[in-house]
Amino acid sequence: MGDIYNILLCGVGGQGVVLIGNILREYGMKSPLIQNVVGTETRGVSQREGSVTATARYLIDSRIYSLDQDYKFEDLISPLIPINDAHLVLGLEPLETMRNLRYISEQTVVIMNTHRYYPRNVIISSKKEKKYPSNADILDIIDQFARRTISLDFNELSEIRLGNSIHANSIILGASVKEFKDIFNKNLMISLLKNFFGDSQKNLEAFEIGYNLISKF
Amino acid sequence: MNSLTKVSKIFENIPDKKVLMSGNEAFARGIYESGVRFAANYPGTPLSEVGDILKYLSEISENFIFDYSLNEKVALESCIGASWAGVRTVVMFKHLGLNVAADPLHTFPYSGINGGMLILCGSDPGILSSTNAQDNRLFSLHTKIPIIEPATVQECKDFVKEGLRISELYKIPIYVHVSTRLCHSHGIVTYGVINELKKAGHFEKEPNRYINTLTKALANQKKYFEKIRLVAKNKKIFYLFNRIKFNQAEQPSKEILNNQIGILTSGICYSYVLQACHKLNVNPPILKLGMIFPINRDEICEFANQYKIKKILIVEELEPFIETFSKRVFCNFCDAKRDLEIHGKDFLPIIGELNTDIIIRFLAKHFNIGNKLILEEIHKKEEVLKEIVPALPIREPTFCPGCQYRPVFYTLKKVVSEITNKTGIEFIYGGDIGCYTLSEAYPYQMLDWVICMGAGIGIANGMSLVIDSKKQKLIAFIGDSTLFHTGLQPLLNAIKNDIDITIIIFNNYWTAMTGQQEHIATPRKYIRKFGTKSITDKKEINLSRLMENIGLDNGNLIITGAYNIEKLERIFEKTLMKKGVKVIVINEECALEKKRRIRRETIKLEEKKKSEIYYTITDTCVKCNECIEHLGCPAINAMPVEKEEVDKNNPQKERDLKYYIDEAACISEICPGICKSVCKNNSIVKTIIFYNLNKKENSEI
Ligand SMILES: Cc1ncc(C[n+]2csc(CCOP(=O)(O)OP(=O)(O)O)c2C)c(N)n1
Ligand code: SF4
Ligand code: SF4
Repeated sequence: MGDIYNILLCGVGGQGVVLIGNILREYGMKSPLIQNVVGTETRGVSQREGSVTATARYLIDSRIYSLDQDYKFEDLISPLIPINDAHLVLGLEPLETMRNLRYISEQTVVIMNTHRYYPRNVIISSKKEKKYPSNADILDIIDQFARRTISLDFNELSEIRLGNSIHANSIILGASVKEFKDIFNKNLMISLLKNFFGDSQKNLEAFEIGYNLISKF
Repeated sequence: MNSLTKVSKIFENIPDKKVLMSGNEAFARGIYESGVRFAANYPGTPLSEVGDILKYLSEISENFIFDYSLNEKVALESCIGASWAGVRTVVMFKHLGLNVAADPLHTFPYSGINGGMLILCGSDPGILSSTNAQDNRLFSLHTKIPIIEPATVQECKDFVKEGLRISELYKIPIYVHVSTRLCHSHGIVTYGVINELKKAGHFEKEPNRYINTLTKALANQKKYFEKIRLVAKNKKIFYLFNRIKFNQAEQPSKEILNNQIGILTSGICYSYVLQACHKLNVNPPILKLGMIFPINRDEICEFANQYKIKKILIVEELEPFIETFSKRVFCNFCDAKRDLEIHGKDFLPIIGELNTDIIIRFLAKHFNIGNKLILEEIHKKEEVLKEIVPALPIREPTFCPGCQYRPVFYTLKKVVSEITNKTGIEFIYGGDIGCYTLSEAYPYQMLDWVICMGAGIGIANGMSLVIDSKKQKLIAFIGDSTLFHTGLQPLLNAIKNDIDITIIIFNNYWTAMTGQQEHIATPRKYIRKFGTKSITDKKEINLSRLMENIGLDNGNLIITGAYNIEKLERIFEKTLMKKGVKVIVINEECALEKKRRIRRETIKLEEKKKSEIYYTITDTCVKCNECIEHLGCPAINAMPVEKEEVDKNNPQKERDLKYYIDEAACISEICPGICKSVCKNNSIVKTIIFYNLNKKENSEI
């Protein structure tokens, strides 16, 4: 018996949404605190530029996150998160985070990378039908719904601290682990990171940067 | 974790091991555990990965054989043959494939099977990656083939095993129905023991059974229908696949007892129903059907009688299939009979996927008890979302960076508009299915229909015979995999009638859209090998050579690469206005796969990179939009010149974007700088860095 903890990942194809989804589900498999894990990913027609989401859902021992009825192992089989039910949203891109507002409510912590990927139809003047809202506007709206929002240009941070923006996701993972210390065990997550990314020192450094970031907010 | 290690884990022989896997991986595991000897597939979302994994298995295991067949009909027929020779077999493809395989599908069950046989078919209710949402369960109205449907990732594995057992017991094929959502879901699977695999098959002649003509067919039909009747009546089979879930509250109120509501559902919908019941805090008896055809009349009634059900709610995606069958049973045979209320598609949509939120609304309509606040919460949120989400710009899919299709459509568009401007002739584009279907999208928008595989040239056949060729001209597109699937017949038909058409065949060596599977025209040396034991895919057909031999008029066959825009321009100018069937074969490998293949090969050879090429946009760029808009390579991007905070106070500034080439996305090792060749302003430059010379050279100087 336990509670359900829902993670939603969203971003643009190629940003690593599917990979982080795999890491977080594998984490659920390895953690002694987590009794069951399910999830899914939705990709667009292709790997090219489309919106991508993934989910990881845990059945955890404690009862800290919701007042729902107790769940049993066999009850957690739906890979989809119901409306308002995300506990953690990792938004790798602002527009995509906004698109998934459906899952964000007062129980949600949003960690959002403010680095923007402009859809083609926004850049090109002759096609400008819809506007990409400014980051400030996006944050305004997300703040109205979420319990807590942590937003930063993680690409820029990665670039400044590690010389390359590709470690942004590891920083975000580090920050998530610190934010949800009662669910995520730091060492276990690090061992999974090594498993998926190889023993790259830069990735572990990035993870630490993220981990130490949170107290500063 | 490396993807190969992950695949090899699927075939570990460790019973009771718990492994996190996807629905597709669980199917492959089930096939492995069940001792299947032969599997065949034509790729298609959502089941493509099962084939990819089995391909791997076939190369590392002694006796398992896998075939990427030319199309679904061939795949099904191959499996019939293997089963008749006594070995277990599974054929798999997407729901649309069943249309292609429908001819044998309706007759071979009369003869029955020998080795257990499954038809594993993915459905796509949300049309996430298909051309329609057809409900394949309806096929069983005329084929009578039993349908089983897993609801969890674990069941994806278990149902393969049990399905094959029942199939073998009754000597009938069994259809496995599965939704896209479940194929792409992940969950924990407990491994089972691995059945022994029959080494060699043997075909026993039985003319009366296998020859379906006249009286023989009639006799076989009778036998087959009798088998289905027996399956429907078998209680053990009912409880093998179906499950009742009910936790009676300790002291149910009178109200509950007198108005007991039961739920009937199947597949992934069962998981949404469970979730919705939790949210609403209600606890009705749920009958989860794992076998949805044929329906066991007595057991279904027993469910209603046992729980004194007054109202049945039926939750299923697409058509009211379970509803239609069970309604007849409930209303005629169960205790409550005509008092029984049945609801389903009177509320639930027959279009699109279901989800928990829709089911909450459905259940809330009928339950007087439970947590009604949730409804208000959903309603409130959806009102807000309506204001915000539709206003957000969407991300349209486009070809990959450096894709070989881009220069072709870019050039064709140019040439066609020149001709149209000069002569007033309108060009019509017959579309087919594959990555090249994206020519529909911005900025090319050259596509007039997409119906099914092969229908690009197919539909053009009749159209060309009736239109006025002085006013309209036809161009049809087709990919290599599609050509061999169902494209050759319409192509030959066009040649037979000598219609006026330009056919562009995209020979990119792979079935790209579904994940770069090999096909009959893939150069054998390019195919990735995992082991040595594959006994399929021995020979390749050279597409260009085949075209040379199908009777095209002199000069009407043009074979070219994709990246030389000037050459393409000359070819199109010369060809489009000519009479008769003109075939242009574009031989150029899928850029994405080529990139991966070359990377794999260099790693294997431990070669060091000798040089690296970069394309960059210089400050002389005048933002004419030729590269970013008309060519549209997604590696070319824009960034705001000013910081965004500034933009907010000065909306005008927002337009100040600087174009750049994202070096992480640009595949300069494959694409020879198409963007550079379209830039009239010479603002895109190529830089080569030689590692061994240790100096930087700018080729532009
Ligand atoms: C009957 C049927 N089977 C399978 C599919 C799935 N499918 C869609 S596109 C495609 C690949 C076509 O390959 P090709 O024609 O070579 O084009 P490419 O994607 O390589 O550009 C397939 C198999 C389908 N749509 N219909
Ligand atoms: S060279 Fe130009 S066209 Fe080719 S992939 Fe790079 S950016 Fe795209
Ligand atoms: S997968 Fe290959 S064929 Fe398809 S768009 Fe990408 S590069 Fe082009």
